[in-house]
Amino acid sequence: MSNFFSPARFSRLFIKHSQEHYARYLMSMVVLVGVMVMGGSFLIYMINTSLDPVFQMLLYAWLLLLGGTIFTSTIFAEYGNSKKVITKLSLPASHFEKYLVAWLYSFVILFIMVTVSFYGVMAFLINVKHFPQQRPELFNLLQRPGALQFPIIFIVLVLYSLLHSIIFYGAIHFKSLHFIKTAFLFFIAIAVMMCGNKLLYDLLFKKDTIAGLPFTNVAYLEKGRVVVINLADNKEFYSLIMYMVLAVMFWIAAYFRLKEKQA
Amino acid sequence: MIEISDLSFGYNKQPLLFNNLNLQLEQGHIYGLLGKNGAGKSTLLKNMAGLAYPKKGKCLLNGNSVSGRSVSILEEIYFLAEDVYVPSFTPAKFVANTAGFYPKFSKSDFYTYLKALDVDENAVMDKQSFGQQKKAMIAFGLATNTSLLIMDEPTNGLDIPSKVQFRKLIASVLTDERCIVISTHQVRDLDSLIDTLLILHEKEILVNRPMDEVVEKLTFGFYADTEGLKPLYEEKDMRGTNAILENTTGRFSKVDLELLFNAIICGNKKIVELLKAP
Repeated sequence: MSNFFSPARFSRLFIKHSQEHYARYLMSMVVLVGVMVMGGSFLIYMINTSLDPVFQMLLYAWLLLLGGTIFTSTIFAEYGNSKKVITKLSLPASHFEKYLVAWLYSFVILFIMVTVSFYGVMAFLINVKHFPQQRPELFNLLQRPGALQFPIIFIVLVLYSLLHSIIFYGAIHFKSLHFIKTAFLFFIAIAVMMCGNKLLYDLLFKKDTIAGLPFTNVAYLEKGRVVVINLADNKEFYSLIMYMVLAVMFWIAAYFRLKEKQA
Repeated sequence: MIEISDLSFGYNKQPLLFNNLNLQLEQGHIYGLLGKNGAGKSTLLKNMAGLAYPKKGKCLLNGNSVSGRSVSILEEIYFLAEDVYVPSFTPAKFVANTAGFYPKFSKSDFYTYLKALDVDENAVMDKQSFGQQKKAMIAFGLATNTSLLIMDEPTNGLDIPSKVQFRKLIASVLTDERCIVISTHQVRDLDSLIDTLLILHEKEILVNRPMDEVVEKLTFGFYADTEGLKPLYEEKDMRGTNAILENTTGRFSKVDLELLFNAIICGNKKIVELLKAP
């Protein structure tokens, strides 16, 4: 059998992982649905907010990005536990198979579960109380709101890929407090990148530019007006491609970190 | 089978635990790895199993490096950790979802070993005592039939009848194709079990000798008085003296592992020289 990937061995590993963790995953699912129901009910009844499609879209994006990253941060927790790590590393399955099981659970399966449960809860919540002049409507993941080039699902998936890849790397890199440590370093890195970006733009444009995220536009003040320089065409496409490239780099780094892991 | 050459290992930002360590282990033997707490026994075993990567040197299993943890290598190694982890399964369920990873696993052997060690196959493992958990994992490890079986402090947590049963089982599973390495600091637990003695002390393997060669070179005995005997090492108690003497008569005695271990870690150079001599 291949030392890199064997479908039979991978299936065995996937089943083993599912059997060992299904209780925790089901509980996480129940908590997620509980948060959605409680949060949605609070919005509807306590602050009398209607869940229109745009609001639903924002809630969905936040829920996926936050819930997904929190869940992903625990996916390699056993590799940080001195008792469990030996069992995990010495199990005769390839690093790629072990990696793939974690990736599938924290990315594909999580995305499907969050999306399905979100739509289920929203379908319930938008019908539980009717607001005048507002017909109950679920947001469509395939729609393109405003001037966006791509459907929401595409943008959400790219953003989730980026955040997932970073937290996925943090989950295998750190032994404990994976979410806090990764988030801490992430925000520091963002701050450093914004400062570095500004310094670079200042040098390139010889102007006092406004600090911004890498792979976005350049802005500066001129005669009291904000001037924004952007790519003429496909600006979203290039940004999303850059985010995906970063995501793939972090996923690859996580794989090699898993290979390097020691007990 | 296992060939360790010029192995240097140390944990991050800590001094080296081993420096240019060399060791060869052969099939068909039960090796007893002795060392003080903190000598690096567990770390050496982890290096053998590919669970820790050396800073320098290499560790080969049948000519292949263990460091990459390739599946074909992992299928040939079972590592029983000192602190075992058991999932919330019965032994039967655990076997159903884990045994398939080991091509030579024998279910019938597993249930035989469970019975011999008095472990209930229908009891959820993580609800059992530590000793029962350990015995279940020992049974699993033995049943994998891997060519290299590494056990780190396997008798920790076992009661006296279980230790006896453990020794019997280990002796019964040894074949010409199998190599068993057992580390412990409870030296007496390995009495009458190991056939080759390894002593790890101060970053190196001070002793690597078959037990029958140890008794060819040394005589162990209890004496009322050792005056005139020229003992190499002795420990006095209220009844008399336990002593190690050079075997000049050719008569065999029973190895007192604890006494020998104490002599070596106390820095008894004469004994080490005798055991190192061809």
